[in-house]
Amino acid sequence: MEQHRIFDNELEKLTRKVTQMCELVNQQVDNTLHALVNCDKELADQIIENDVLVDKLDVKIDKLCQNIFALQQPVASDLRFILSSLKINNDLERTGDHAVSIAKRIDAIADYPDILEELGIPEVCDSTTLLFKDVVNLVKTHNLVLSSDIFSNAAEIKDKCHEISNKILEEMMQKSEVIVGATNIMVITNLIERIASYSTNIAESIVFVVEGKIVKHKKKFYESLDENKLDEED
Amino acid sequence: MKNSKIFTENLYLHYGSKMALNNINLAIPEKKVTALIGPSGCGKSTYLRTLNRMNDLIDSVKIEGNISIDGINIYDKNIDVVNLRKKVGMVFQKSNPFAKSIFENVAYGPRINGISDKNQLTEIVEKALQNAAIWDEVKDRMNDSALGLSGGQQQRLCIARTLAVNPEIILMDEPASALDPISTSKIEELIVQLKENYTIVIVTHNMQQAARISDMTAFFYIGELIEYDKTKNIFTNPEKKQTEDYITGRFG
Amino acid sequence: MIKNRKIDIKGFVIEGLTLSSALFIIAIIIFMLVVIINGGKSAFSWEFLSAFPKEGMTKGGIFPAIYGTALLVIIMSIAAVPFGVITAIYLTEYAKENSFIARTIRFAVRTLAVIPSIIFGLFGLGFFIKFVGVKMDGLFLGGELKWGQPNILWASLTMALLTLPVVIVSVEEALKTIPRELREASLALGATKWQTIKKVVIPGSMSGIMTGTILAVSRGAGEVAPILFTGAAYYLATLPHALSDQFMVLGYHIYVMTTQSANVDQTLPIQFGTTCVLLLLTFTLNIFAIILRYRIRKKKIN
Repeated sequence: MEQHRIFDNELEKLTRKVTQMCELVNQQVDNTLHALVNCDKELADQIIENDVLVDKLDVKIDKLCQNIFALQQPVASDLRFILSSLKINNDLERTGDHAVSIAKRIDAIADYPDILEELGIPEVCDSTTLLFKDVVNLVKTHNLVLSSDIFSNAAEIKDKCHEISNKILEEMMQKSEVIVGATNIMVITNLIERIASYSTNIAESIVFVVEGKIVKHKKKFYESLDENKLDEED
Repeated sequence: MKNSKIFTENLYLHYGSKMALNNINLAIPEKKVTALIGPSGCGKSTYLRTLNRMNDLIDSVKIEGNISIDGINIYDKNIDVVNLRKKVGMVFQKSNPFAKSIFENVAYGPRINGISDKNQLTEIVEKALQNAAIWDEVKDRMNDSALGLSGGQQQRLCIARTLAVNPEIILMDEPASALDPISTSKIEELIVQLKENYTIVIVTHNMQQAARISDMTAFFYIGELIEYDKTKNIFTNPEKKQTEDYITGRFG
Repeated sequence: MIKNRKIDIKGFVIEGLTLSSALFIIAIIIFMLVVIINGGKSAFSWEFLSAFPKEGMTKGGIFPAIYGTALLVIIMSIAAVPFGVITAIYLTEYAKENSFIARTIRFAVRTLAVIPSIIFGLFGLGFFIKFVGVKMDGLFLGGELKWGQPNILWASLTMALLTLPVVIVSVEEALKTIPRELREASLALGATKWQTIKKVVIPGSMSGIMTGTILAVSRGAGEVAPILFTGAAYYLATLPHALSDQFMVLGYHIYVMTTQSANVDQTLPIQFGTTCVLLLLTFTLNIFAIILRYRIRKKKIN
């Protein structure tokens, strides 16, 4: 018999808060990438201000998880959900921080929109925006079909970022006068790569919630679903 | 504290020459679940039983200090203990239905209160059983013996029996300690529902249970109240080392 | 070590001895029953149970003795059971466990239980007949002799005294089987002590109270000594129809027939037959009590 449990309310609350956090960070990432492409300084300032909201929500979710652990002794799927919520929360908070870091550098590179264009950064930004939308959907729906998209798209973005970094390095070696501007762009590229990386982490956490399997550090998980082999690797 | 239902001030209790409660000061909030925890013999059950004067039944008990409910000292000599117990119901550790039918068990309280009209009794019994979340399980066998119910059902019947007297406060002395996990969670769920209308004080050996269902937690140790705070605080960041040691299982 | 099994001769002998003494007791009982039934079966008939003794008690039935015995135990129960139940309720429900008064009552009950039954007979004669009865005659009947002599009332009351300890102890036991939790449950619902006793304790221990009563009755039915001086008659041509009448009783009838009869040998079947009836009566009552007890124990375990 399905029975309503005392802490189902708490779990619902946690789900709500994590979703809220997800949407908030998504908005930050969206805005920051938009501001980057359009060199929008005002929007950048707004992102920096909004980070307070992310931090507040982060603390709230941490406390909520702590209380659930202390008072409800979650087990099995509940336990996985709360553990993952903590990690997702952490990843989202870091993602938010990276968005702020990007926003802080927009001022410094605002004069080189052509270079960004040339390096293909707007395309990376677009795919990262789409990637994070998928992440939000995955967190909301727990639909694992999205996770394989996220893994592959994130990997693509990371590859692209490495390419861009290499291009910037080559440029820097040839023309020493661009070093200051180029370094900023390089850092931004790295931050975008990190955001893609956190997206992968979040997707892995959701897989853990749904299937109870630890898929991080196992890149080929979705290519070869050989469970026995995976278990042996444990 | 605001909205306190039960105030305990400087309460001392002796069994003969043995001190069982030592200067207890406690304010129990209205319409909340307050859990009393602590190792065996710490005085938590003794304290619970001072709240409906159940300790009066033991000859050698001596009580000093004040307990007031809604501002009235329940140890005043003008207090009618029988009326006090109608206001302060109690559910015991071992489910203890009378060897009567399910109906008669719940109707017992109203009957001794002088209600004999069959329709009125039926209405009270039905409502009590519904509030105790057992109505669906027993509605077709109201005239069967209550002793034929399972342990968990018996305990919910006992809760229904208590509710039928229409108390304001319900004392529970380890109400789920003899039950299996499913029955236990049903009782716990019920307790959380009941706090909307009743002030509940529950003694439990099961710390997790206290954590799950209570709003306030009082930790007793050797007759003393060591710490009393919101359950959240007690279980995440207790102030006293003894509390920490007890709830983390380092002693007791 | 494990394989080195020795035959335990001592244990074997002890087991044999205990078993044979137990068998011996069974043999005695069977022997008694066979003798009694064998001797009495020729006397058994409807007339034996329903008629008065005839021809100097050498023929006829024992109906007045059966009737008298029944009347005796009924009156005795009416006196002993309520008194015993009330005392038992006081002891278990009201008296403090180790108070002076409770200890005194318990001591008195125990003492009463070990007093030889003939002493009760003498007490009945001295107290009920010579004191209470004579006083009553003096007060209400101007000295006319009515209550100041043996009768069924005084005999029943004497018997009630004898059986009182049995009633008290067994009712006390029955009341104690009601768990403390049930009393507390009732009190916690706002019941008074008396409501709790009336609605929970007594209904719950009803079968125990019944057992006590039956045991007392079966004890009383077989006793002769207490009624010897207080009301039992050698022979009566009529049944008792007032409390001030004397009566015949089974136990006494056997005694009379075997010791006072004009022709002991001739009345042998009647003696055996009467014994059969008395045994049957007490056996039935005891079996009834055992069944009830068993039911209480079962309840206690649950």
